[in-house]
Amino acid sequence: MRRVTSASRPQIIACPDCDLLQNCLEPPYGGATLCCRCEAVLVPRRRDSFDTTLAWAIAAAIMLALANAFPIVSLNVQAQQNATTLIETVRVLWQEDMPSLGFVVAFTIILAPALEALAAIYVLLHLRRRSARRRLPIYALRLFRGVEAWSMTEVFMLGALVALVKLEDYAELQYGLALWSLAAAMVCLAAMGASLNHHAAWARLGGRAR
Amino acid sequence: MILVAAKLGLTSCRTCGLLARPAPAPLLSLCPRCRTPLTLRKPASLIWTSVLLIAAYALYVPANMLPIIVTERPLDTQTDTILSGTLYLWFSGAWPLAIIVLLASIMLPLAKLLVLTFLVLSVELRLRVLPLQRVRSYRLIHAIGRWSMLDIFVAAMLAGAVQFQTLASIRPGSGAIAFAAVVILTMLAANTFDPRLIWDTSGESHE
Repeated sequence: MRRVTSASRPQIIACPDCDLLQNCLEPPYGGATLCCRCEAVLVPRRRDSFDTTLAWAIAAAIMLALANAFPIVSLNVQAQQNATTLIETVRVLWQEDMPSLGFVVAFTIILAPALEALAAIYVLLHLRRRSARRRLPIYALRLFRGVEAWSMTEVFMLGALVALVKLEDYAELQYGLALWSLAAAMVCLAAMGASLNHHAAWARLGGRAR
Repeated sequence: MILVAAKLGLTSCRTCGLLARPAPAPLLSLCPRCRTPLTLRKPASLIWTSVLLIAAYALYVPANMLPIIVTERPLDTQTDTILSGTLYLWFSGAWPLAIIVLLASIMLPLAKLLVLTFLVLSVELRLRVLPLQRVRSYRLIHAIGRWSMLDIFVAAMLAGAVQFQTLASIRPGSGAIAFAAVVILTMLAANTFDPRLIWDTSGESHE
């Protein structure tokens, strides 16, 4: 018999895209709940347990750490060698008098994914213990939601791919560990985002109504 | 009967979805669950979106005309715009990548600008045309907007990798800043636009 929790009781919400008040029911397994007027997703398709999401988040954090610590690619041109790390890329932008661009790249590629993974880890660790409603996890989940849109690892991967194809003609390329761990981080971050059950997380973080 | 939350003074929190009643105008309300600011509609949505779009349009031409990559060799210096970079990819045989860059860096920002402009105008002029299709195009634009950053990352990667003082050095051109600005401005414009306005002005909420 299914236990009725606050996450599964039918509740009334206003559609985020068209503001229509409607009953928001839990969808059947494998399905999603859509707004009856504008088809906005009210409850997404099956999400996983917090533990699954936590596993993905930790994996993502480790992969991101590796991606920053090691070079992505090493170029060999006429006996000269240059290894590129993520931070190198930002540093070159700073040096070439483009600090604003350096900041944008640093934020979208290094800071935002790191904040995303760390905020998720903190919230999920908190949710494993049934502690009382606390302020910090709420801010952490808000931070996660805010930063999610600006974390662009997958766009960078495609951009790096295009750049590497261009460079193949000029120099001898040696692919570094960071390339693979960045790809893995991209997968882990996507899986983490897809498996996180926002609905249940907010219900648990919100605590009892006053 | 169609119940629109705002007409009843209610709104779903934009962060956690909790249905709540924000306090009337001059008072600032916070969601009781997650403490994000609560408003019936995104504040000054059309004004913000319009301003951001105008700024993006203004920077769009320099972004495409100014060079995005500057290749410095001891004897000559070569500049590349987004377009010339795409053509280079095409003629050097990597035409799938050329198509990807063409779509992501040239077509996509333009599409975002045009769609958002249409959405803002359709709300401002209170057009009742196809609200479902309008909100679908909004969702699509919102979701894939980030991919316009592709060429910026290509430039950053090239600049980071090719740093040989004596042979060749790649650095980003001024077009890169303009282009990054266009992408960020269109992303912010999509964030500030409130799709609920489409339904507010399409006449469906009359009782």
